[in-house]
Order: sequence, then structure tokens, then C-alpha cells
Amino acid sequence: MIEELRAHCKELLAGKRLDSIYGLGDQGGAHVPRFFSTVDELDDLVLAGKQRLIFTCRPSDQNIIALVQGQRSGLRLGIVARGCDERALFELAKLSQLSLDGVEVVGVACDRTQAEECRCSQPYPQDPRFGEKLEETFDDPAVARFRKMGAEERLAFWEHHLGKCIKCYGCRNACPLCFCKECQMERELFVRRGALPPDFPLFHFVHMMHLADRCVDCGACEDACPMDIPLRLLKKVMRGAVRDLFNYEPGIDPTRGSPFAGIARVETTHGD
Amino acid sequence: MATESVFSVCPYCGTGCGLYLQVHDGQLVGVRPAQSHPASQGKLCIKGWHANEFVTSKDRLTTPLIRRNGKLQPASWKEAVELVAQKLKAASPDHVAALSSAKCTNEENYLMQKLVRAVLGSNNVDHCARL
Repeated sequence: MIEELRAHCKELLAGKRLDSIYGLGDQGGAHVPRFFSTVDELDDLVLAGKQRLIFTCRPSDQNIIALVQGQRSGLRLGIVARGCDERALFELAKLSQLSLDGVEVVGVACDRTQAEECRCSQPYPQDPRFGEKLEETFDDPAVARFRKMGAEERLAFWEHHLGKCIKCYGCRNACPLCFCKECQMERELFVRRGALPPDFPLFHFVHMMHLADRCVDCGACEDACPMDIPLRLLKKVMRGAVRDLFNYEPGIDPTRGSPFAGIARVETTHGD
Repeated sequence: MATESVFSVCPYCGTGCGLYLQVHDGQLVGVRPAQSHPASQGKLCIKGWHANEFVTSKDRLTTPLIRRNGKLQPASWKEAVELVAQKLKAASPDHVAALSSAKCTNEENYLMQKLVRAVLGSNNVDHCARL
């Protein structure tokens, strides 16, 4: 499949249909996100690993695609996107964090091995050009186990796991949908400075609630956690609740806005 | 549109987590954990996640400072090293201590303890991880 993908991307560049392709590149055996601007460079294009394509640059809080678009207007960009990458693109576009104008998604469906490894709820983009849509669910067995727990057990479960937190902000930093200039997870009102672990469960729940209508289930938060907190489970349960209550799944339909957008927000005006 | 991921090792502690510096048109724009790094396996702590920020920080020292008349003033490396050498020579061994660093290589740490023990004649040598 990789050879066909490279050939397709080379055609897109050689035919001058696109100016650049964004995807994962092989760099000394490691896989890193990069832009390919010439046909020859595309020999290094790879499809592998859990390395996410879409991420927020810091301290500018701008995602990598918007950063490039901001520098070159009218850029025609191809993005080799898996399901999770495409969902992040759709959500960021809805939230005006990047533009899909001039963007051509080269969709790649993940194979069974990768879908299982990633415990992916939808291991394919909307219209995969390569690979086949695996319609069965590869969902996390942790979700089913969690649903069987009673309230007391759930409380103890989260007290144990969230109590391991070293407040590295890796989950926030790794999240493609976290771009707020003023992060609520840094606000003294919710998160006491210098206190470890952070107050249970506020720190993680602020993140979860803020992502309730954005989380695209890519798993970057959990992969980034040095303390092995099952953050994916937290987000998956939240996504499930939003799906059940609002019939809405972030990242799936690029034209449908958040159901929360119509709900009046009551922001606190107290000082920190 | 040159965007590069430059592999580096986190400069903060002795663990040596792997990270990629995101460089866009010659500007540092962010840090990403290195997924395939054997020590850190795609994780970073809060310091590593911000490892790009001190590079261009306006608070970063770019020259040694010497306190003159109660005020820290910019000085050359030559002046600074000479002043330190002069003060070390004048002090008795028991009044001298050296704090080495987990950021240094093994070889640099070895040289530091050698300098303190063999040259200055003191046993007062420790490292930043105990501070």
C-alpha cells in the first residue's frame, strides 16, 4: 500500500495540483510529521506508528497546519490522514483554527493491527483512498469493564489513577484540540499552584469537560501520560455520553457544529 | 516552507528523554516527545514540554555577570573565570563547595569532582539533583 500511496502523492506534486504534502516521514528509523515539497522527498513517506500528524505548537498555541497556511496564502496542501488525523482536521476547521480551503485529504484507512493497537473507535477517514474501512469496533475493553463498575468502585478507580498525576500537562500539550490561549487547567481558581497531585477530580475533569464536544478519540493524551493514567477511558466515556445525549460525535461530520454552541455559557466573573 | 523535526535530548535532568524540536523556517515553534526513544517512550514531563522556551527567553543570560558595588553587571568570560580562580585560590578548602549537574556528561562530572578533590583539596562536592 505504501508504494501506491507514494506514487499517488508524487503524481499530485508532479502534476502541480498541490504545492506540498504533509504526512509522516522516515527520519533515521523514527517517524516524524513533515512536509514533502518535491517528488524525490516522497520516497521517505511512511505509514506507521502512533505519531500524530496534527498538533499544537507552543507557546504560539497555533496548530501546525494553520502555522504553514498563515505563512503562505493560497497554499494547496495534501494531507495524508488517518481517521484520527482527519477528525482533528474537521474539528479544528469548525473551530476556525485552520482552513480546509486548498486542503486535499489523502485518506488512509488503518489496518486491523493498527486499529487494535490504537483501540480506535473509527480507524478510517470519511473517504479512504487507500485501505479498507474496518466497520467493526475496536473499542477499548476498559470501557466495558468500567461500565460494569458501581459508583463507589468508579470513584475509587479514578481516585487511584488521577492521584498519580504529576501535572506535567502532557495530556493537554499532546491534544490536537487543545489550543486555548488561557488554559483553564492553569487557572488558580481550579488548580492550586504547587499542589501535587492536583485536586481530585477537578484538574482532569476540567480537561474532559472542555473537550466534551471536541475530543476526536485519537489517544494522544494517554500516550503522552508518563504516569499511565487511563485518560483515553475518561475521554471515551465522555464521548459516549455526548453521543447518547446529543447524538453527536466530534470529528465525524465536518458540516455539523457542536450541539453545545446553542447552550448559553455562564462564565464566572470572579477573580482567581 | 522548511519545517523540520530536529531530534534532541531534553536538557533539564539526567534522565535524557528524547524529544523533537519543531523548527519552522529557522524558528523554534514547539517540542514533541520522541515516540521511539528507548528512555522516554513518547513521554515528557512539564520541563521537557517547554524545553524550547528558554532558548529565546528574554530572561536568558547571554553573558556572565559580576556583582560590582552591589549590582550584577555584564562581564566577559575571561574576567569571570579569573575572578572565580582568584577567589578559589584565596579560600581555604573547607570553605569551598562545588555543585555539579545532572545536565552534564559523566566525563564533565568526573572532571568536576577531580578538580574539587585533587586541586582544591576539598571533599565538598555534590550535584544538583540533591538540591
